[in-house]
Amino acid sequence: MITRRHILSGVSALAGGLGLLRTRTATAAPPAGSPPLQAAGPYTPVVTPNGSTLPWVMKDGVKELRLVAEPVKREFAPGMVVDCWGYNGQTPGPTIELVEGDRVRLFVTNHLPERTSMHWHGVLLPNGMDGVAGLVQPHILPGETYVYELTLRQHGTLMYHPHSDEMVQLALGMMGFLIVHPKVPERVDRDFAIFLAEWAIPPGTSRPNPLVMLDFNTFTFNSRAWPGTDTLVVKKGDRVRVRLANLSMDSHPIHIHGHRFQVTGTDAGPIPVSARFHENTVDVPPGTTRDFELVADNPGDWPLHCHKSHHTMNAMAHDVPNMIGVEPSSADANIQKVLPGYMPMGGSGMGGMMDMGRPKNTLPMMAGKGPFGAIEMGGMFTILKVREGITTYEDPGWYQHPAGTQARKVSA
Amino acid sequence: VDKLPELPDDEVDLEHLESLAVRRRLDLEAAHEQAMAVFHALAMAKSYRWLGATPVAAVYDHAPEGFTVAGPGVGVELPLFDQKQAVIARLEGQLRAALARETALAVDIRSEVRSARSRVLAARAVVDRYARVVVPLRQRVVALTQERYDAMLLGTYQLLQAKQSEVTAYREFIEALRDYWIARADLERAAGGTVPAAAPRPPAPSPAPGASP
Repeated sequence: MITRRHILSGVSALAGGLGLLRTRTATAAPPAGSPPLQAAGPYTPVVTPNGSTLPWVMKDGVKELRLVAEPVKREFAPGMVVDCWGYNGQTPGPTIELVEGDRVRLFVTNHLPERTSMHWHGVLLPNGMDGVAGLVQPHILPGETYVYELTLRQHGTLMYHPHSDEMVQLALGMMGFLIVHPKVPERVDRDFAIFLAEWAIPPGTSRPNPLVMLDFNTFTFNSRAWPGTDTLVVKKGDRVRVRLANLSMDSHPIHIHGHRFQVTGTDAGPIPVSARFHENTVDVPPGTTRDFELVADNPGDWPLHCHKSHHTMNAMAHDVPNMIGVEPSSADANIQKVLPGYMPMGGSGMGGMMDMGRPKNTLPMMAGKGPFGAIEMGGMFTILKVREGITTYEDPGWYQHPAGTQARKVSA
Repeated sequence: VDKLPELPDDEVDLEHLESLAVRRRLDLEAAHEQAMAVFHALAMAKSYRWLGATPVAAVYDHAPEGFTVAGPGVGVELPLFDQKQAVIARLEGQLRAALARETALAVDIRSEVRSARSRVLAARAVVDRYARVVVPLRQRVVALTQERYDAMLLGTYQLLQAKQSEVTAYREFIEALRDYWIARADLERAAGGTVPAAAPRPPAPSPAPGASP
């Protein structure tokens, strides 16, 4: 039954007629204004943009999953490859997707150059399965495999990450989603999982510096920085869930344009319907998850981004003298005498200087080309593309604005 | 015009320089001539050791008898007791001293040449290091700093500092080149004249813009 559910989940859009599984309908009331829920399958599979879902194998009624902790190379965006640590060749590790009530056996193999362990963040489990090295189990030494076995007694957006040399291992990208669907899912049409992370990667290098606590220079959705982040494509009217997880050392206020959402869950599970309210921005504190849901009723290209403006920039320095409003007068010409390639910078703002040249393996501070010019963003930024009449979730291109719905230049 | 010549391709062979110096140094030649003068004086003293003084005189006398005597006179000294042993010994001593001085001067000259050449080689190594390593590295630092400035990772002041360091390195290169030619002048003085130089190399490194030597 459980196996069948999983198989069906992949074809949920086609499985609407399966009466067998339709008998279970969502009981939670949707936010105001949302269309009736469609119960087409047990759950809508989670999409991890720029990531993947870990397949499981059913063995004697237990779902078996295998994670290998190992060094990985991650392209944050074209032109920048970072030497990270992760799981199964990626950071964040593959998304684990399970159902409440599942019995699971999780194998963790250590191919790192140092010892590790695996903590199941937020999971209600026996103490000995909690994965805190030294406290409840020995460290997993390089080359060793440990197995964790537990029954999921809850649902929600949980996480997995090491609990051994955490500072280094988290800073290098070892993290992943552990998503547990309820037995009776609250149906959505699109279910996205985005892991928030921040990194200190000195320009010109490829190794994140785990010793940095505050001065990060790279901010990512699923270890990708704009313009390397996948866009989120949804059909008009889709009920969309976005799951956000944060193991970084900052909070990240994630903001959506053109829509309002309700925060429906945390890493402790669903928020009671009576406690939900509409918002445009949800602050995701360190060490927690937030789910929000919205009805994509407003066609267009809508940014979804962290609202800390430095978090939507790529590599930049924070100790450059502020030149805004500085009148250089003859200084520029004098400097150009000794430095012919010198361009005065920042005197009238910093837009429009996105790609003058930079160290290798470093992203421009602001990037992205839109249909009307430079998007001037970076880091934690992506686009929710809401379209009418699409038949696939492939990238539909830029939004075509109906006449009279777009700002235009006028002679004032 | 008002520019130091570049380094010559090669330095002169040490063997050649020492013999050249010994051949050409006038102080060594003077010492040699002094020794030769003593040598000749000694030879003469030895040759005439059996000859005493032979005084030659013109005699003119009024005898009481009323006549005048006038004529030449010659005396012959017989060196029975003084055979110039003291003179010869003194001259022999002086000759040994003169020869020793000449040898010492020659040794000093060779030593001077060697140390002057070592200083030239050391100065050359410094110039070479600046030309091949320090100045190019500083130029590279400026290029990389400019790249970082362009990506807004650095400010104008840091860029100017990098340029200043490059200009300083180039000035130090010129000073090293100057020190080389001073050391070379010292070598020529030690070698007693012009030391033939090979054709100069093509100029290196190129001066930084705005940092005319």
